[in-house]
Amino acid sequence: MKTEELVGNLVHDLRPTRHVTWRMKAAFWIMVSSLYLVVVAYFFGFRLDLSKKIYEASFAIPLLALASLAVGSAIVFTFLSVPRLEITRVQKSVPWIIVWLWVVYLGMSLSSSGGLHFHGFLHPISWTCARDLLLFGAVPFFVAWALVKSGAPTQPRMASFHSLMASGALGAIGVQLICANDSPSHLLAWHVLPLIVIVMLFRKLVATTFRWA
Amino acid sequence: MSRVSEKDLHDWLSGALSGDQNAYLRFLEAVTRIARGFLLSRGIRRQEVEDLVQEVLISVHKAKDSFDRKAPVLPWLFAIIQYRLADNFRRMSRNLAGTNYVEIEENSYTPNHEDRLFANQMLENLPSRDQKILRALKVEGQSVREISLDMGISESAVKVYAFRAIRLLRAKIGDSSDEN
Repeated sequence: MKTEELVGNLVHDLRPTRHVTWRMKAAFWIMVSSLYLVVVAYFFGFRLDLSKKIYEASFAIPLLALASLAVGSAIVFTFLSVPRLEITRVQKSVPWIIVWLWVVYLGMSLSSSGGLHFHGFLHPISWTCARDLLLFGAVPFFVAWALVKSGAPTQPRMASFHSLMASGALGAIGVQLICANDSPSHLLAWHVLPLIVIVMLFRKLVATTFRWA
Repeated sequence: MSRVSEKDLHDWLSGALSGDQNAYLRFLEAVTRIARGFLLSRGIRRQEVEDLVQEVLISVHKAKDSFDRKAPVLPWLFAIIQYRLADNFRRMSRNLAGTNYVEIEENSYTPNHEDRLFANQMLENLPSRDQKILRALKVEGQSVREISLDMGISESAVKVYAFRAIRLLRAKIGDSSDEN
């Protein structure tokens, strides 16, 4: 087909459209995912001491760090769903903020408990936390995936990384709300590590689904 | 078609997003020229450029809903062009084993700075109409049809003028090499 013919066909195919900004997409994702989180946590049953724990810094700060991670990554993946050349301060700084939040989170958890305790790592009941993390993160991930896919990401790997990170962080928040085990070793092995493993395992696969046909 | 500004592109794309087919036609024609020029400037072979331009056009068509009317068009457009170019290189790299690069290197010719200066100098010796046609045809990579529409002359006239201009250039180059 000649280029002139193609242009003619594309013009013929034109339909008026309504633009959805990346900010609207981010707000939509945060709203839907938060709602899903609350519903699933309610279904599983919130941990009994949640009303007390929420005022403890050692519990609230890591939770806030995870929330910031989810929101920060949501901003980045929706931002990347629009083709753009310029790298803004948001794009540059958010991944670093995320990394530092994780460092603070892990450092605080471990220092308050006096180091790692390996005996609790392979306790059979702990597996349920990893399973719950997947369950909490699944729907937010599919919503994130659909939002990125409906745009036109020109940086599929970064968009994939952040959509997984945002959904995983939300999953980790969900698990934190229902799991009563506050041992930092348990948190590290069953709340943090599964998130990192999921992101590392699936980021390339998800990125391929973001490539344009 | 004269030089296209960011404002023109923005107006055309905004009009297209509201359903104005005429604005969309102008926008896509401008994108065709920009993409073609950009790809040629990146050293893509002429026979591959047209395929890539068409891929860019389809991508722009699919991605047009993502364009934010408050944002400039060019960064959005070049992100798409560069993405398509990178995609092309990725595809090419998969077929590295079967390519004879030595043969390509031997048969290829890339003009250096002195060659470009010389070509420019020679073109400036031509009448302005012939100069415009040759620049559009050989430097900017426009099609005969585009030039004829742009200059308001028939396609066969463009071909005739281009042929005469090249003959004139050959004669001048012959003269200048004789002087040397």
